Amino acid sequence: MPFDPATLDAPFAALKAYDWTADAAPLKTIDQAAIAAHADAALRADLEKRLCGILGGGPSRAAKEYACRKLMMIGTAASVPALAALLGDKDNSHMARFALERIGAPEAAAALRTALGEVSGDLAIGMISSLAARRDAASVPALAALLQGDATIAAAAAEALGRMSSPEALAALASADPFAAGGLGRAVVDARLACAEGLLAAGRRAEARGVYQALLDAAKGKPAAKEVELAATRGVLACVDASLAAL
Amino acid sequence: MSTPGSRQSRTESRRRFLQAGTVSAGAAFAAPYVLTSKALGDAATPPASDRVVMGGIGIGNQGKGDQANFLGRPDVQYVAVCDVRKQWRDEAKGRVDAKNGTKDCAAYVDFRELLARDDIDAVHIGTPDHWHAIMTTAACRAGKDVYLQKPETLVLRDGPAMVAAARRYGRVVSGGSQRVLGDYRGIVDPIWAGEIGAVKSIDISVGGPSMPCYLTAESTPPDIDWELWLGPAPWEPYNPGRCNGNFGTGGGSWRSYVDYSGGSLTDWGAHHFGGAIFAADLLELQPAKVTFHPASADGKEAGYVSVAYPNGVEIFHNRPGRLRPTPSISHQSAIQIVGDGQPREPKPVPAYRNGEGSIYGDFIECVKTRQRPFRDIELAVNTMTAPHMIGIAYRLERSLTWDRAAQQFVGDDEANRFIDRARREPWTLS
Amino acid sequence: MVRVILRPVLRIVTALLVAASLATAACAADDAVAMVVDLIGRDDAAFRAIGLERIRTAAKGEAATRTFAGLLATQAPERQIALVRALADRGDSAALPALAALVGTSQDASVRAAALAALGVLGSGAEVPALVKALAAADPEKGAARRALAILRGSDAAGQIVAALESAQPGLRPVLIDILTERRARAIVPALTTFAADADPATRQAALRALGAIGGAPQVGAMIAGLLKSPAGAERQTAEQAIVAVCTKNTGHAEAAKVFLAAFRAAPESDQEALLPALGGIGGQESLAIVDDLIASPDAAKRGFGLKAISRWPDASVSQRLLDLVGKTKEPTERDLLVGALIRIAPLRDNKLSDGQKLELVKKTMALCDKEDERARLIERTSAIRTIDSFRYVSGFLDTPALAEPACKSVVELAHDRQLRDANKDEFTKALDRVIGLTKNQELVDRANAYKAGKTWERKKG
Repeated sequence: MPFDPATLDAPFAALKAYDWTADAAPLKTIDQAAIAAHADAALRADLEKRLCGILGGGPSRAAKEYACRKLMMIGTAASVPALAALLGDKDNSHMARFALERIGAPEAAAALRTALGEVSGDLAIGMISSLAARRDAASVPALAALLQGDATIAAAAAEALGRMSSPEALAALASADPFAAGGLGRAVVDARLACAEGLLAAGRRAEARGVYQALLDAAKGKPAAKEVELAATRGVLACVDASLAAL
Repeated sequence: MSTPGSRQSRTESRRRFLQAGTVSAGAAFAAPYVLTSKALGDAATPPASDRVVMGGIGIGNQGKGDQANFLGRPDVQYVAVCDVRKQWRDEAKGRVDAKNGTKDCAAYVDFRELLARDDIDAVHIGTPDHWHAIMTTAACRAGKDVYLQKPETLVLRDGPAMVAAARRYGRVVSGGSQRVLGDYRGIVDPIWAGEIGAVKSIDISVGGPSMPCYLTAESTPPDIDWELWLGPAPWEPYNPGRCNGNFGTGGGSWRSYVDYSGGSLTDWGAHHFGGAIFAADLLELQPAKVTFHPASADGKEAGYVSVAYPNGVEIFHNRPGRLRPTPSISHQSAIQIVGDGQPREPKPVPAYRNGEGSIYGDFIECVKTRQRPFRDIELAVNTMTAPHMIGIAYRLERSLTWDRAAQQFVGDDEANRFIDRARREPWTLS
Repeated sequence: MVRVILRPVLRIVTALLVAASLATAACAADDAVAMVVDLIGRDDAAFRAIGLERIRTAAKGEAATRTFAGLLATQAPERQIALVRALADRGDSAALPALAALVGTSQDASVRAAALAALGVLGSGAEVPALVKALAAADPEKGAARRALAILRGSDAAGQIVAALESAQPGLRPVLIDILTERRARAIVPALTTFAADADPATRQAALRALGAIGGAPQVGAMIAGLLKSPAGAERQTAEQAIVAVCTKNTGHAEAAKVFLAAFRAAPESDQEALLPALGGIGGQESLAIVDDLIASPDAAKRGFGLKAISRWPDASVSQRLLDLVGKTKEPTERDLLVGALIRIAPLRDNKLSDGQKLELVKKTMALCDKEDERARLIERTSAIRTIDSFRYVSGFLDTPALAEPACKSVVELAHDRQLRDANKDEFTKALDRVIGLTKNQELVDRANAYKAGKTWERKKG
């Protein structure tokens, strides 16, 4: 049975006034509309517009959070501007990413990349994390540049490059120090290992083995590098076995 | 990479330290490790150098039970606890100190401090589900073996991340469903003996998925680090019902709510799906198709969901009784299995590694021998894909097709949005 | 010594192989195997662990397996055990000759036990003689051999064990029957019907237990014959339990029950008397008709048989009959028998009643109990009904001094149910505190304290 958009008027009025002390029962209709929107393009567009309307100005953090959860399900490129506007807002940045990370439209990735250049600290780590989850190839240069900066953000960038597992990501990681202090070195190693696994899974055994061998060489003679040596040894063996399997 | 050394090298360094009779400085966050008579062992207790050194993260309800089981083992040296609640942390430390006869058990609020300790071989994790993947992958990177409470995953994406970390660093990671082998022998033994023939279908009766949480805001008590309790989950105001660790799933517990749990479907479901999937020997597989069966037009009969495996076995969740075929074999009223009735070649039922009837003993044995545990994380992850996919089908009210190689639903962008969730900064999952 | 010489040589070989091209299959295979061999020879256990992991999961092929198995001869016992386990996990039977040799040559019992266990994982019928021979050894070899025989694969394995059983010394037969039962081996069933009448009581008992576990309709006749031959007491009881299991639980139990009832009807009266307890244990409408007739008989002996049979009923479908019979009887022995039956049936897990109905039946039964030991038994058994209402009911008896101990036991048993306990935490905490103050049973105190602290209590096995 088609969903009548007019039934959304009252629930959205309730959502505008919603906060963490209010009755959430009226929101149930919006939940149902979000499911029904899958097979009803007009309803989806209408619902998306209404939800985006919650994201600006007056409604509470709780209302915006609710709208972001629904946009995670049904959002399209049309939601991106409203969501992007929240990315720099400490209270709402995560929930904006909650939606943007899962919206497949390229505009969503572009918004996250733009925000990465504008925010700092934990919010930047959030952008990096969402770009990594999307395996956004276009963000590799920006992530590569971050490897040289603040160690915490550099570690997140390294981790993200590992998640990308692309040749470009690997090239960026090759210049990062796998034995850098704190969590950065650990993240670089983890990312390089992830890239090597990606190469191996793609059948590019020689290149994967090169990554492992480089880590083995780098670990040589370093007293605190045993786990690197162990992991890289596992990798080399996996490459050799993959060669066997392919023959 | 400042990853601590392997268990073997740590054991060796502990042995040297014990021989020298010195006090370990440990890692940056390590508490003093004082040499006691118990550390040297007695008739019933192996010396510390031969014991697995453990810590626990998340020591509330189920974690407390896990702690008791590890703490009671003579081959475990329990040295550290971590919980975001002061009362649980203090109580957990008290239990360890009472057992060890010392006051040395370190107590941490932040799990990263516990993982930074170089002297710890293994951890057990009993936090709410939204922390499982991040903590497990971090522990693997830090060179720790992990006993992880079920349900091991909150979202589908958690699984591959945990398996990759375990394999990458050669860690022993055991899922924590003690019931899989313990409770379902009545169906496992005859099926593995080939008595009902090839399994065709399974009906599982267990509660549904978790729900959104609309609890109101209350002031945060000083006893809890609320930011750390929430961790990667969306920020929400404190409410005791949101973080209560009781086993209910109908509201007023974290197991009820979508940000922290998959609800009964994955909580008790981990047991029932775990037992059924083990019995039917589907552990290596993941479902290929998910079918949403809508409610009857008159609304009298609720909708239900089934998953079909590549080998043709179908698992039905809460299918109405009148639609169920006569089972060949049942586990109480929770699991009903139909076979093709053609007797098959028997297969030996897998057992815990050390011959004990305990999943805890299995884990410790594997930590020592580096074998894969009975509930290896990959098998646990495969198991949990079924209830997770069923939960997504309930949320979207439609059928789905799963591409295991790509770890994606086929042609359903919205379903794919539920495979993972954006984690709240600064938490990430690589 | 050989190891000391080999290791540096292998390192050199490995280094050369690692550097070499992977262009050919032979080279790649050598490379993989040589690297694993090198790792197995390392002093550092962490590197050895990588080698063992590869043996378990990779470097496939029989030639590689034989190479890895060949390393067994040069390892120290502790490393031999690790390698044996890895070879078992590898799942390639090409390792069997080396493992069998180790069973024969190792001076270390733990190594021999590990090798026997591996034979069980990798072997087939051909390994049965060696494993059966090891059953005569002491533990850990005996235990490893027993487990190995229980899990041995291959279509010929069960047949080989049955053959070994047929030629085994009497002392070994019960163990082999138990192993075949654990395997749920159909191949044993014909032999079991013979062993059920064996001269050796232990063999007879094992055979009857086995038939109870894996027997079906075709074996019912032989089981009845075995029961009729068995002396009253434990052996008769084993035979009865086995028949009841075959007719109520095993695959095809409905057909088995039909066969039993047909045999019962055809049996002479004296045999029927011996079969009545089993008939009662099987239950069902047809059995009930027979039992009703007996109970209604003016012949006191027949009535007695009928009452004995109904007192063994497997579910609560006869609860109203039992209540009526208790109400009517003037005979104290009959009353005791019937009340005992109600005490057993009322809280039975699968008695076909809802939890609420079970508790109602418990309450009705309690009203009929006129002895303290009956009340005590009923209170203890009520803990099988895992509800807050049954908890409240049994908690009420904590205040009755004569029944406080069974009430303590029941409360603690209900507290074992974590879900129930956590959902009613305050009530349970109060009751467990009372238990701690009341009971003289230290285990109950320990359990109560454990549950209060949220711990799990591991039941002692056996």
